[in-house]
Amino acid sequence: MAPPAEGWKRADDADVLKACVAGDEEAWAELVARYGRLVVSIPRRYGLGREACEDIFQEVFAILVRQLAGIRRRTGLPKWFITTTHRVCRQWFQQAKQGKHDNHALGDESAMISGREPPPDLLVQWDRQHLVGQALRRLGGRCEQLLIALYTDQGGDGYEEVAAKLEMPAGSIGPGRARCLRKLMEIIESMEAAE
Amino acid sequence: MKQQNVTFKHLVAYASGELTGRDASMVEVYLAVLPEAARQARHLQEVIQTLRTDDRVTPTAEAVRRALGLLHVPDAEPGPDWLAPVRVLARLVFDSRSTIALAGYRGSADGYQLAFETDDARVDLQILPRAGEDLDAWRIRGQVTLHDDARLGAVSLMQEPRGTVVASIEPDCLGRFKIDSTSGVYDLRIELDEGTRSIVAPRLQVGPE
Repeated sequence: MAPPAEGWKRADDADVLKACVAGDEEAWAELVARYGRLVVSIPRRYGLGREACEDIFQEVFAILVRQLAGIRRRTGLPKWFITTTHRVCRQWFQQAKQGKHDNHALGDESAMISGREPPPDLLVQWDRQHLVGQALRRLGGRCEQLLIALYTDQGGDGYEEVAAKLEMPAGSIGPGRARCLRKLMEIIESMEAAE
Repeated sequence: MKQQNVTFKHLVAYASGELTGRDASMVEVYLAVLPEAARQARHLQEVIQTLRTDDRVTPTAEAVRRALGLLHVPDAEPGPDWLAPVRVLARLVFDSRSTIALAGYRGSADGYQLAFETDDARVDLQILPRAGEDLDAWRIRGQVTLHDDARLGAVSLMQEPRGTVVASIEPDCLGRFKIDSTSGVYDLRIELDEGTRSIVAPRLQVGPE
């Protein structure tokens, strides 16, 4: 399957997955980039350390490789990643209870991690974060930079700081923000409609 | 700001929590009479809130590099020990070859039925020669019945001694599957919960001993 002219970044999950089944390494790289933050953030949210988070990250993508040809429903990948990552974390937790991981004490996280499914409120939160994050990636360019600078933890700056950082007039921040948010909302709505 | 002059830019400022007093009230009155604008404002608020509270972390470059290399890694690539799927050996609980045939038994005289059980599942198998084909062609029809809410994955026929997968199939929604093979001794592996667990029916004799 030939990649789209603009690359895999704006392709939907079904097409990227199909290309991965065919062995397309660029499509695979897109899948890792698309879902990497989601996957590594789940064990982190459960309080696991960096090494465990990276082992779990690796295993989830290894599971996906093993099941690539067998994944019939090629939509619903966010839910698949969330559920699979949760279950790998649960496996880690069961091993930790048997003392197989050194120097790691799970506190309140144990209640979240021991269930067969992720806690519903976290599932909704992760799904939402992934959707908006992906829409931002698809938006790209100056708009992505502007919205990150204004709204995220990496930014959250005032108009003056953002204008200086992005080298744009402070007076153009407000209209630029509205224009970029309008585009972001259109992307989100088209992604939601495709689900 | 006048109500009739509320623009998308004002909705953005409102959704971002930047409007106060009279300006905020003006927008709220506007939204109260225009449901579509109200829906748009709610959606904006939700998206902005998601952006502001996104606490996801980023994988390290090394973790990404390792993941990128997975696409062409053989199935047998080992990971950390604790990540090895939990495997449960199933017990053979019924073999029609050593039991008087019950009324209602179907299949050719050369076929036979087997049943395996674990605490979590039962696997019923019917092994039949494939009619009209060469002498060493067999069909395994099976059904996996789970006793808990585990998620059923692929069923694979594996040949010793290397555990080479000779056939793999996704069961249907009722846990039924069909696999064709030649005669021999195999392990039948049933994956559960995205491959984090599996059930193995060991040393399955397909065809005559």
